[in-house]
Amino acid sequence: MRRGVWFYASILVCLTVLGVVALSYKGQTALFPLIVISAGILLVAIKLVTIAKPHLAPLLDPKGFFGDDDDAVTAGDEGAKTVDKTSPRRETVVIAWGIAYVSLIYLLGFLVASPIMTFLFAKAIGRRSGAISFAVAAAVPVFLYIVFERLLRIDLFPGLVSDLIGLSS
Amino acid sequence: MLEGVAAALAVIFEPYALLLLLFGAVFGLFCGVIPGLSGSTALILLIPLTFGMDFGHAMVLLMAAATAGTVGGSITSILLGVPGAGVNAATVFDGFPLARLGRGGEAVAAAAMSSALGGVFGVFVLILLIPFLRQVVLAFGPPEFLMLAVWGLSVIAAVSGRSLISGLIGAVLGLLMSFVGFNSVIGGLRFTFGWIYLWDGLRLAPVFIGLFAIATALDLAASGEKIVKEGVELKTGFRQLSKGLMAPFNHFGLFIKSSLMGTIVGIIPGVGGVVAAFLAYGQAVQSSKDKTQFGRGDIRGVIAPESSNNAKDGGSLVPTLAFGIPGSESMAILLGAFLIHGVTPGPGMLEDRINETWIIILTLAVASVIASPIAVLVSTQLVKANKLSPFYLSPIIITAGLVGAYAFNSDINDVFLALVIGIFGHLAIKFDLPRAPIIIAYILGGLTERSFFQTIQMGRGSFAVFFTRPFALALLALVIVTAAAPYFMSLKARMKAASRDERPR
Repeated sequence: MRRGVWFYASILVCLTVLGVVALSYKGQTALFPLIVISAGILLVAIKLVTIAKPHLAPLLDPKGFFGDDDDAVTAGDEGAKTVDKTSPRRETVVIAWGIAYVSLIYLLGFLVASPIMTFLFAKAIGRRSGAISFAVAAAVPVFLYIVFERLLRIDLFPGLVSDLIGLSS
Repeated sequence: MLEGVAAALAVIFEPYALLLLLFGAVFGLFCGVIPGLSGSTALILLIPLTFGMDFGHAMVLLMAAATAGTVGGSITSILLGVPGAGVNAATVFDGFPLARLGRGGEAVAAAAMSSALGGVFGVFVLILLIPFLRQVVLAFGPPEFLMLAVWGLSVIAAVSGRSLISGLIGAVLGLLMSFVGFNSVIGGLRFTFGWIYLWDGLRLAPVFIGLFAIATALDLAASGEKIVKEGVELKTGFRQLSKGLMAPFNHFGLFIKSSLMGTIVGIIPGVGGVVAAFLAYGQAVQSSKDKTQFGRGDIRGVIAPESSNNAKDGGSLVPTLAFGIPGSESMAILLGAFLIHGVTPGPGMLEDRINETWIIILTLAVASVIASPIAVLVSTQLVKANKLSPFYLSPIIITAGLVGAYAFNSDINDVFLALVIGIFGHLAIKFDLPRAPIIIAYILGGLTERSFFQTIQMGRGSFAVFFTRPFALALLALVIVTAAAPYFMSLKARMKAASRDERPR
């Protein structure tokens, strides 16, 4: 499958769903969303055509309106990326790690989840040295506790489990 | 006037006030560096400390913290791609690519100098405007807001990168993000799907943290590359710093234009520094002849937003002092501090409390100048993080981002939102969907829609209101000129190239 097809196809599905939802809004509330969603569906459809038929890209998807091919700006490092060095497996592992991290924060709170997930990331995914991974993982909650809880007096989320067993005050 | 200035300077430069200024600047910088916290957070945390102080000293401490917060946010925006606060988000676009080229020190120095000069510029304009404050503020109504927002949106084509269609898709997504929640002008809930959390819309802090901090950290982790890749030299010497410090002078026209834009946006209540920074960045891209390096590490992409978001502070003091209408988020908090100290801002402020007014104004300028060298000193150490393995750095950035997303409102839903936006941002980087149009449209979408309906109500269904208001008409002309200018420039260049090719050799 060509690069990005599923990504833009997912955006198209989301826009269509949002469009159906926006149709239920009344009067002025629906005006801007419907205009924007209609334009979005058209643009994503064009994008999908240019991905499927690359020879149509120069016609349908110009490299910016500002003259020569090299004259297009890329705002962010996105456009400059020519070689994609990520493997789909590592991509999935990293995203899964992010989801697991937030789930663990929800259950155990920042101070417990952060050292576990930092160590797991450095040691298991990055295959870094165990001692340094442990030191970094241990330093993270200490820093969070000193800066947020003590210095700034901002209570960090204690987690659902801490709440249930009455550890959080 | 000179008497007031002299009295204010005497207060600011007494040892106790200088200590307060230094403490406020360091604390503001510290809050600015932590994602999710900002100068506003520093203000909230410092207000209780001012209860025992007189009004003048309290203002020295608070203004120093508010100003330094903006400067501090630029450090992590550049070195780690993590905006300390929303006002520093536009700095990421060129600041972070500069760090990846090993030029992080130079970029922070340029940001610090731009911030210092921008802050002083904003104060200078404020002083010039004091006699005309009322007319300037009252000249802006919904039609002018609408034109300002459209002007901002007109730069989307310029920041769309290699694919105009992708840029426009990004703008569509950004606009849709801005529509979420309750609309206070036309009424009604949109895209909340029965979730009360979304009634307030998508909050700024988790959106910025997700789209920049989390997305960048996931990208680094997935690619396994350090911020400064192997083989690229990390330039941290004095030569690099001085090059950065000189950058705003080497692009003085851009600095003046961006600072002026920031000051004007600051004067208008309710628009804010985020809009100022993105407008300045967009205009820097759109108006420059050579756009090839923007987004890949162009120092002009650092100078424009940083000078603008600091100049904005001077501008936002105008409505705050003259009418008691806060010009920005930090000014709204400052207004609370005014009231706690028994001072009611308004037209009388410039007559009855002129010395205190001068203390506020001049502290803003002095704090900008003091915070900048501290920022450069901090960055000389922090820049070394650019050579850290992504497997240590990414979880640290993600942790800091998630805590920052949570800290501002103490709402765990903000953490979920930051992660969702972060994963989307990471996929956007992977599939060449530029993030700049998303964030510009997200920032300006609400303002555009709100001002559109207010303008319609004002004109009773007619758009003639644009032609009866000089500021609106001038802004409309500006929109047309800035949107059309690149096409004319491009056409002119092509015609020149064509005539060169046809010329007999």
